[in-house]
Amino acid sequence: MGRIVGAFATSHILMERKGVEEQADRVFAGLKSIREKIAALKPDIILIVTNDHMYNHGTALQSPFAVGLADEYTPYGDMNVPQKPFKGHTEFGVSLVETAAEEGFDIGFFRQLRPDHGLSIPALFFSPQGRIPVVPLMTNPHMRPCPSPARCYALGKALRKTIETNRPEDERIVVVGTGGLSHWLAIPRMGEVNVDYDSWVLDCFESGKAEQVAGLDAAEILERAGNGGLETLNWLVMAGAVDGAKGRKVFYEAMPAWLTGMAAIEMHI
Amino acid sequence: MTKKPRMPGGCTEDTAVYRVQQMIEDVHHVPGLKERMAQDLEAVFSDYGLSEDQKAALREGAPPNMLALGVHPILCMQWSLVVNEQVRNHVTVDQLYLREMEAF
Repeated sequence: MGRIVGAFATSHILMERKGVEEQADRVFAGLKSIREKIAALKPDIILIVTNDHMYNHGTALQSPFAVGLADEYTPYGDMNVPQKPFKGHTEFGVSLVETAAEEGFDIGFFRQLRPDHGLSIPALFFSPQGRIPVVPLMTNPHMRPCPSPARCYALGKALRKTIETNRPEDERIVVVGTGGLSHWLAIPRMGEVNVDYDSWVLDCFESGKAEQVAGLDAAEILERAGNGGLETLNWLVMAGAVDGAKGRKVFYEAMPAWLTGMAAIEMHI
Repeated sequence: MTKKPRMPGGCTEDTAVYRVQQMIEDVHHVPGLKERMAQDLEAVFSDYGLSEDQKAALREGAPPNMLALGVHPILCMQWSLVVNEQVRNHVTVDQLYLREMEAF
């Protein structure tokens, strides 16, 4: 059986430093510290739970969940992210799709994916030179209705089952949930950050009670954390995969200039 | 029975809005479209059969007006990035970080 050897969650943007240099540098340093921790774990595969921002997962075809099935990805390059290719792992993705189906999750898949910042920034940080294969598991917080928080948490449990039952002996997996926390994109309240919501989410994750966050309705997250805050769903998939684990906050910066409550956590497993 | 309020960005049965959204998405997928827009935006609007209200909102590029027409907020954001250089320059990874990330 394979093993989850590390689990993390982090916001997945970086923007201009100007005017917010100290906060921005703390975020960048935090991401680099996660990068170092992941490297020390020597994973065979990094599973990044994220969401597309309608560059691939557009209005022509929406699905609540989708997995990338490719052996290499080249970033789309939005936010000026370097278009450096990184490795994928088709076979792991197929395992996940098949096991998830047995667990009641019908997951779509991308054969062609040009990752936007939601995947390419974490992949760039956590897969040095793009050499550690990355498997993207996409939730879709931008479709309505979007998958429920409870469903995402349960998907994390199915993911763990895939790793523990369908993967080769001693395969080492790191799971990273990305995005969030609170932000409002192109809707009223854009530029606000809800520190109370963000702190509550981080407290829940730190104290091994992420399932409380999974107990929210998606509409409640939308109200309290904005449409971008629905990326909390990605954190919940990660948390479900390490159900009950406690964690440690790596950084939190409320950054209206970046339109976002920037946060990261490391889970103890 | 009380009907829940619809969340922004929902499924839409409005094909007119769908055409706007399709155009914005096509910017990333249709070769040459971005260049055609730079040369003759009005012609591209016509190709997609957009209404005068839609054209006006897109020309201005401000999310609230597009949102009011029913365009998905994420696509409003994408369009702002296409037409507004100031937004584009702000919503981009800082050069200092990019230089370091290039070596990752």
